[in-house]
Amino acid sequence: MSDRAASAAELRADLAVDKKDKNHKTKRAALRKVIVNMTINNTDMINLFNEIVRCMAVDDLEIKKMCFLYLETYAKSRPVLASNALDILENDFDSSSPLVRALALRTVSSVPLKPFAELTCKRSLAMLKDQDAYVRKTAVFAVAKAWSADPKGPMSNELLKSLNHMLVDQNPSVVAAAVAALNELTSHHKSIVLTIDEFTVFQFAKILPDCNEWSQVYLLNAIMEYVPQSSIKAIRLIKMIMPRLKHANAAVITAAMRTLLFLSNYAADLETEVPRFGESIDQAILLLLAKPAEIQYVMLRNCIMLLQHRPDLVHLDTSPFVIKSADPVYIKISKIEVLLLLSSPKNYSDVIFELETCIGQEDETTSRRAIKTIGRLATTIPEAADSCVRVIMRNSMKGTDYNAQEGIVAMLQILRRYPDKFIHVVDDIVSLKDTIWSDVKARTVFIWLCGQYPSIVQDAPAILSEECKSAFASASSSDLQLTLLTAAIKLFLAYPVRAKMLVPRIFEIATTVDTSPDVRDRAFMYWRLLSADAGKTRDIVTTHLPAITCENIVIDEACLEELELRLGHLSTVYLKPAASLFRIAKPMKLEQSPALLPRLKTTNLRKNAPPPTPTRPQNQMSRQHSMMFAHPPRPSLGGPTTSFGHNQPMDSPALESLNEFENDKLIDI
Amino acid sequence: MASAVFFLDQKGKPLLSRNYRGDIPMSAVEKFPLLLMEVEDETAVVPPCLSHEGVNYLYITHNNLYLLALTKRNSNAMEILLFLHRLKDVLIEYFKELAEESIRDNFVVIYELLDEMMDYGYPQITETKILKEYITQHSRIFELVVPQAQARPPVAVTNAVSWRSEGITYRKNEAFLDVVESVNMLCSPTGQVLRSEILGSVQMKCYLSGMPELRLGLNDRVIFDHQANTTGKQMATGSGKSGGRAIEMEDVKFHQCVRLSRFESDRTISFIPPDGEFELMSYRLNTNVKPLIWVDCKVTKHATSRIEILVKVKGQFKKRSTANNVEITIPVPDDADSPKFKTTTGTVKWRPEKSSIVWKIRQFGGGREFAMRAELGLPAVQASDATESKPPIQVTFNIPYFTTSGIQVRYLKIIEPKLQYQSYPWVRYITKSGDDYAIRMSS
Repeated sequence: MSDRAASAAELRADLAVDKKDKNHKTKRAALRKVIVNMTINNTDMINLFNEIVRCMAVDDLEIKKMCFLYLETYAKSRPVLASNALDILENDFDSSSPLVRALALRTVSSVPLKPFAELTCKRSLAMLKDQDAYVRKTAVFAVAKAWSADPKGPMSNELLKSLNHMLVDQNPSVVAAAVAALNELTSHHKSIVLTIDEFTVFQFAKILPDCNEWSQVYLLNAIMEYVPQSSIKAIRLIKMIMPRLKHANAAVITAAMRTLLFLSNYAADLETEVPRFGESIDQAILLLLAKPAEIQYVMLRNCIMLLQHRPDLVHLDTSPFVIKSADPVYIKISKIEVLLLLSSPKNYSDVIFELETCIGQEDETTSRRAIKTIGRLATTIPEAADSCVRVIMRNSMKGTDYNAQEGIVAMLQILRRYPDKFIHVVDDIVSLKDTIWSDVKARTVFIWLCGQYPSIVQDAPAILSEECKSAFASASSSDLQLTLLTAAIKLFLAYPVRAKMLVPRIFEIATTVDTSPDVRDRAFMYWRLLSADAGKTRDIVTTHLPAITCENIVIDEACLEELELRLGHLSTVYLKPAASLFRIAKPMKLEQSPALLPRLKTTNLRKNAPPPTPTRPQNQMSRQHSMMFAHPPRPSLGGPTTSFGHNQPMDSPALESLNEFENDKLIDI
Repeated sequence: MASAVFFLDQKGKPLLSRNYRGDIPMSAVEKFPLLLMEVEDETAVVPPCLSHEGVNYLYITHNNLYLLALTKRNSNAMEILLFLHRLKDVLIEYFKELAEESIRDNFVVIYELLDEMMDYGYPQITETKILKEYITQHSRIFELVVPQAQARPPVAVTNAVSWRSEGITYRKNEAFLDVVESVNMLCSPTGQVLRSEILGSVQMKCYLSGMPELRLGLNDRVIFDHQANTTGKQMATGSGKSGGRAIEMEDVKFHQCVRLSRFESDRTISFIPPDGEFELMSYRLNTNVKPLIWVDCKVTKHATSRIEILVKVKGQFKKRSTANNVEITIPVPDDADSPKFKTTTGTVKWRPEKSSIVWKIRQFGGGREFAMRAELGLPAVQASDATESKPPIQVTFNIPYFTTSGIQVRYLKIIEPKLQYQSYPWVRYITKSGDDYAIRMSS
């Protein structure tokens, strides 16, 4: 385009043309150039302020629009010049065209300067009574802007009160705008609360069908500010809102779903009163899963929350979550997550089948996640363990390197969950040594195997002493070093002769080379234990471990409740409590009312959760502790004081931390 | 709500932006491309919502463009992402295509649109038809006709019927209704249907004067999900006729013009249509459909020399129907070369850039069966770390005058109470392959 990169000097003359400019043709063209240059950050344009203010007075909508845009962009950098425009703007408030009135008000309220804010305060109240709904709607947002600019200002009470009056406006769009404004102001300022009485809330529900799609979203949000006092009221509202679940607009569906779920907490006998309630919610979820990827993503993340929080209500089968090759990676990963939550002793074979299909056909990230998920499936559903192990091993043996690496990490969890059941696959894993060695996580697991199954891993001493050289060489992972230490000790306790050379050497390296304090402390501790009493060392190091359980992503109950009340909002996408993410978020919870139903304690979140694990050998734990403290290390030994802060068995803390890491990752993606 | 909206080019450089709330410094956008890269490096998964130092970045992509919204509150992500999609759709309707150039050429109009579509970060109106009435691309013409003093927003902006303006007139009053069903399917190599669904869409083109009231009647076999429970789980089948089985619709979704409450109470689809083209309703049938076009593929791989592919394809739909433009895409190894094809019908082409061969058949009669044999060379040396990636066979087709579900329009009544004109409703049916009609290859 030719009008790029013009200079202010060139345009100045055109902007100032007066008499000869028929229909303001020249002016308009010049202004277009100004806007283009402004957009591409040509700072020279700022020098045209006076000319632009003069053009503002021209009685032409297009010219006005461009001038106002200019004003909004540069007002902050030229506050004095900007205030010259105030008179013209004030004139426009009285224009006979509603478009101009609204435009002027919108502009004035968007300029972050004091005189402009004052003018907004002064005029917006009157414009709330404009005869044109479009102007009233604009005025509602202008009032909200004026209020947030100075919540404690002299006018603030009056502004709020006038917004309240708008809730009974004749025009549904204006009501919706007022509701949106009030809802926002109250949700971010602790001093004010939005309460909506019963009459108004039913009024809102009644005008829903008459509103434009976005207005429906705002009204639905506002309905959640009302706390039903009886079950009958809640059910009446539910019936009025249900049809919204079929709307074409995804935001309306989500808002309706959120409101309905909220109301269901106050509706007794929902199943008999509204027989298709649960199914309607399920279907709305499916609708959203057929939308563009970004929309799907938001819904998938919310499914993770809903499946945990409302297992009684939401019943989905696995078919909508089949992974398609065209899905973006973030969708695939989220689907895998949901599939895991949906898995049960009945359908696990379908889930495994689907996950295995991913392994061969998809990208590395998805394949890795699929393998990891199969591992988690094995630990949550005992019936599935056999097939999971088969699939993991099959893919580790024939697939790519990363399949094997992820496979062995997954196997670690399974071996710990079912300590004796799958010893036969250890041989196969050992044969994969060269394939997986490049991956630190997988190598760590391999080293753990060396210590755990010294009888199966034939050349364990050689592998460990080889690894000794590299593990402490540079800044390698302390997880690996810790695992290596423990594995070496376990090997030594099982076969003292074979590891005779290894142990002193590893002690020496671990306590002299510059390593992390944890690693050094652990080395010293083992060293002392061994020199004091090898028998007791065995008790401590090769103790019987409590069986691990593997729940899926665990979000706590209060957080789930808050997330549900915020369905579709950002916190539900990140799946974290709002307070941890947003500084100014008010906490949300279900308000008390006589109708509030006690929530069934979801002790058994997943019907297929693993059977309660054999109670942790409490006495053994305490025995361990007393043992540790019975023989306090003597500082005179020369090592740094060892901290015995651990309250977990000494075996492989490195691997414990691996688990934690995975749990975190899961929630973040 | 969104604090600001940006259009960014491929490299993440801002092309145009609109600041709605002023509570986030506009310079926050500079972090966006870096953030994308960081997240990609760390986890290889880049979701459409990212958070960095208290600012949340929500974005969609289109033609190498990023449409980005910023917010620092716990905003409604669904609302913002949907708004970005709608913004994209509106701009496509305005400029035919949305790309870097069309943005650069239309700064002024885009600013105007952004101003109307969102206020204080809240979506206001995203209906192109209404926006076009008062934000015209050549606003010059508009200005000359309407003196500024009378300029007013279309009533529809704040009206209950926000999708249609009054005073529309046509010489001939016509309404066209198309029932389009897309079949999505995933089959195992042995012919077992792993997943199948029909996505139906009723599309309309209305050229009607005034404020017409329309009523649509569908055949009795159509059962909307609410009534379905009592009749038990009956399946609709593609072969139609077989004793009038029920068509159980799920996920029925209507254009905003349809009176949802009325539908909820007595199942009538009644509405005042928008002018021109729109999608009246969509639905989904989660039924077990027999593959309309079945592909049987046998691959014999002689490592280091060649690969032989034998494909048989069968049309498993009614004899009197014909499928048009059938395209079967069969994946072949990336390193294959020198293809040779033999077939009785249609043409076969090798698409090395997509690592596949495509077999096209113009017209495919119901019940017919065709075969094709392909042979491709393989390099003598094999890459050691070749991954075993096996995308499925994809099929596309369309079959006119036929719906898989058996849905039929009984009547389409058009009444304009004031004008009382004669009108002509037209109805058509078509079944086609959806985005995902795939058959997995045997391993």
